[in-house]
Formats: sequence, C-alpha cells, structure tokens
Amino acid sequence: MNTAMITMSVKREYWEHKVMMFWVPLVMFALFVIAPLLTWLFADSGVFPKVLSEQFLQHFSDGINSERSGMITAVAEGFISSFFLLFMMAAFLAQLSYFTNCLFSDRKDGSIIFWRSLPVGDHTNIAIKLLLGVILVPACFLLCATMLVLTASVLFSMLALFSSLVFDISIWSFLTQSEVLGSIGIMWLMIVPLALWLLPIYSWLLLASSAAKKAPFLCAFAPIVILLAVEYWLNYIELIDSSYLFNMFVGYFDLRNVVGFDPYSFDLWNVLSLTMGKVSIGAILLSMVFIAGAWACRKYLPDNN
Amino acid sequence: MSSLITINGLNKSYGKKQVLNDINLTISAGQVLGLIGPNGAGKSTCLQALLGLTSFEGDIEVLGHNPKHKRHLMLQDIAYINDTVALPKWIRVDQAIEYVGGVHPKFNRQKALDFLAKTNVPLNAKVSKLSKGMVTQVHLALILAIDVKVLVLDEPTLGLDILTRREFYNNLVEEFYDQEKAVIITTHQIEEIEHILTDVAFIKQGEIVVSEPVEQLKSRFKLVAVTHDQQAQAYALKPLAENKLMGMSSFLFDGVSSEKLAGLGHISTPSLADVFTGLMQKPLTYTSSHSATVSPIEPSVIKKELSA
Repeated sequence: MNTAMITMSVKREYWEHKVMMFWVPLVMFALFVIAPLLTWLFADSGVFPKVLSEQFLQHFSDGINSERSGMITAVAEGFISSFFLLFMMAAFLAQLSYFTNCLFSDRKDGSIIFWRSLPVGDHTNIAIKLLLGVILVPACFLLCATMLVLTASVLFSMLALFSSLVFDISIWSFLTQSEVLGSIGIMWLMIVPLALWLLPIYSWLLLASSAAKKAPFLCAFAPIVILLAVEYWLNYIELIDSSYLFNMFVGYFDLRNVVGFDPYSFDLWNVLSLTMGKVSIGAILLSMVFIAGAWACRKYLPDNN
Repeated sequence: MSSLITINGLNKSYGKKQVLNDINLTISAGQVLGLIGPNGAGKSTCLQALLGLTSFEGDIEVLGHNPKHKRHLMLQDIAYINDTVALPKWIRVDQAIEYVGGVHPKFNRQKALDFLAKTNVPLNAKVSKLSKGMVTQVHLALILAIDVKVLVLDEPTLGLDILTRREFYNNLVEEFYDQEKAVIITTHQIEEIEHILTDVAFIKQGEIVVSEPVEQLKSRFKLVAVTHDQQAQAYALKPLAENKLMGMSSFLFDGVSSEKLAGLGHISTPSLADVFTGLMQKPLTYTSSHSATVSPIEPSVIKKELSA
C-alpha cells in the first residue's frame, strides 16, 4: 500500500460522497450563519437587536468582569458544545448512511468489477473506507462546526471590543475566559473515543453493506429488531425472566452508567473521559469480526463479482 | 515464447449448474487469443476466474501469481475490461483518469488523454451523462493506457459503432501489442478481430472444444461449395457442417485433404466465423443413405470427433 494509492483512494471516497462530506456540513454552517442574520435584518424581535441593547451589553460586560463566577466560561462552553453536538449528530447520521452504502453502491451500479480490476486489494479498500467513515466524515462536520464557533467568537470579540468603548471591560479577559480554542480542541479529541465507542455499529453496517443483496440498512437493523422482539415476546409469555439483550444494547449506549457521571455538572473534559470510559476491548474485538466478515463477503461472495 | 498464463482443470459451478468444465489453456507472450463462444458458454466466467474475480476450482497461474491470493499484485501486470460497461456513474472522466493514474503504477496519463482526444468525450463530463458508446471509449482509453503484460478484453467494443471498433483494434495492435505481451479477447464479432488473432479457443457449454493457432485451424478446415449432384460424395467424406444457399451447399470439412475434396467443387479457406458456426450450431449426423440430419450434440462429442 503506497501513499499515492491511499491518497487516491481517499480522493475517490471524497468524490463519491462529496454531497455528504462537503455540501451537507457547509449548508449547515451557512444556515447557522444566515439564519441569525436574517432574524436580525427582518424581525424586530430578533436576537441581534437584543444583543445590541444597552441592557444586554451591561450584562455582557458584567459577566466578563466577574471572572470568579466563571459565567463567560460556562456560557462559551455551553454554546460551543451545543453547536458541536448538533454537527456531531448530523455527522453520526451521515456516518450511518456512509457505512450502509459504501460497499453496496458499487455492487448496485455494477462498477465493482471496474474497481476490482485495478491493483487495489480488498483489504486496502475496506481499511480506507473504514478509516474515512470513522474519522474523515465526522472531521468534515467538525471543521464546519469549528468555522462556525470561530466566526461566532470573532463576532463576540468584536462585541466585547465595542462594549469596551462604553463599559469598563477587558477584551483579553473575555478571550481568556471563553477558552474557545481549548473547547474546540476537546471536541476534536472526541473523534477518537467516539469512533472506538461506536465502532461496533459502524462495522456492523459495513458488514451489511458488503453482504446484503438489497436494502442493506434493512438487513442491518432487521436482525437486531427481530432478536429484541423475540426476547420481549419470551419475556411476555414468561418463558424467560430477563431482558439481557435489551439491557446490553441500552447499557452500551447509555453514558449515565459510566463511573464518574454527574448529571449536575457539565464539563467538556468530563464528557471526553466519559466517552473514553465507554470504549471496551470486547466491543472492539467484535468490531474486528464484523470487519473481517465485510472483507470476506467482498472477496468471496459471488454477488460481489 | 514464455508462458504468461496457465489454466489447468478449471471448473466452476453456480449451484448445480456447471458453467466451466475442465478448462485447460496456456497463453504465451506474443499471443492474441480469441476466446469465442455463444452466449452463456462461460467466456466471461472463465476470464473472471483468471482475474480472481470469482471463485473457482482448479489451478490458474497468471504471471507467476495465483489469482486467489495477492490478486492486487497480479493486477499490476494485467488489465481487464468487461462486457457490461462498469464505470461508476458518479465519476467524472478526468477523475477516472486521475484515479487510475494514482493507483496503477503503469498507467500513462498522456496516452489516455490522446486516445480520448480522438473522441467526442468531454473530460469534465460525468459518466452518467455519457452515452453507452462514450462510456466504453473512456473505459478503453483507461485500459489501453496501462502498460501491462496481459490484456483481457471481454466484449470490449460492445455498443461501439464500426468506425470506433476498427480504430480500437488498430490501436490495440499498433500501440499495445508486442511480442512480450498477450491479449485475450472475447467477442461476438469474430470477423472484425480475425485478422489480429494468432490463436483461437472455441468454448461451448463451459468446455473448450477447439484451441489452436489460427493458421493451423485454417489449414485444417476446408469449405467446399458443392452442387446438388455432388452432395452424395460430399456426405461420404463426413462434413462437419452444411450450409444451403441458393441451390448450392457449402460443406465444412475437418482434416480432409484438398486432393479428396478437389472433385466436389470450389475449395476455400473458411473464416473463423464459418468454423465457429460449423462447430457450434448444427452438427451433422449421418444416415446409411448418405443424407444428413441435424441433431444437438455435446461439446465432448465434438472434441472426440475432432480429435479422431
């Protein structure tokens, strides 16, 4: 596997999924920028007139000056994490779509023979798709979220500068309290634990994408739904007395059962460490089995040729 | 001539249906082999097995590689185009060129561009916006620009007009072919490639019924135009096939000397298409009265008859 081959394989994925990796996050970014501007321009009761009111500016400068209360830090962290959360949820949906289709689409349009007639191994192909799906797709969304947060930070810095003409505040105090770069850094660091935590889902979808004759999304979720329904039914007729599968699924995705979870304190470092706590060796090993299955289906299933 | 591809005992079945049955072939450098057969004979499956694109039983060695393992290494020296145009719909022509250039160490970008310059294909067009013929041209440009040792062409000119077909085959001979390389072609338009083939293999129902150099095949088979009153003598020499046209019959003979055939009528060298149709379609069986009837015949019987 050489660098040119990896670069070109990445490019190929980008070309194929440009709408998902470029246009969707960019449109989200544009909406978040344009919507408040439109509100400001066309609505009397919009956000910006309130932002520029003397009362708001007074609160804003008070917040910056009362460093001990940590108000600016808390507001900035909440603001940044809210935006990133929205983009990360969109990225998650994009990832579900990507993994469901990435090995299915070229079988569907018959181009698999073209791709497989070139000297790129199936293992390389699967590895590139997996890495792109877990890292690059969310990175595209995080990049736009970062652009949005930086744009908002510049606007609020300008507001702080504007306020400093009237009120006694320090722009540096605002910048240091808001901890924008630190918060953004933490959000980017989240990519890795999130990828490892959700790897079983992604690799299961990859397997479905590689094996399904049609409707890979249905093929991925139908067995799970059927299993849960059977377990529920067995419980209902009192043949068994536990919801092992249901609890296992819910438990895996529930952040509250991680040691150190505190619902009354929100801290980005805490969220990062909680996500790290969700990563389990067993789940990663299971993911490896799914990935190997996806590779084997790609290589050996007659439908793949 | 060094052997580039060796196929021994190749078998392949889909469920209970046997699609390839004990295929044995050797392809050497300098050969242009036409793999000819009717629809569903197993040509494409045979080529896909060769490229490791489908599972199979038997032994295949391509340029020292087993296609089942390290297929990606083997594909550095072998290029393939298949009968169903398989370029992805979403890709642009320039992107396809860039991609193949990036992943294939032996791709010559300028060659591909030169090939496409002779066509009406716009470089910035998406494959989904091109006609079927144009997509084939793009695929051919990509494949011909790769400097490989073996070129596998499965119905490469399907959907192309006759001018483009001829240009393609001319390019193939002039720019790709040399004594160090081998080409395998399957096509239904045998007459168009006959002049470039060095060897031919006829495949029927998954079995190779004839495999030999074109020159040898042409000296072995004879086509004789026989008038009605000479037909009894012609039947006596057990022709392989008979074709009646405007009161005349032309008989295809296998391995009968020109001296024996001289009294029957005008002798000519059959085209590959004549031999192919003679072998594949309506083999003759003989009655005691020297008249012939047609009946279905198995490939194994054809092979037996020919070897006898």
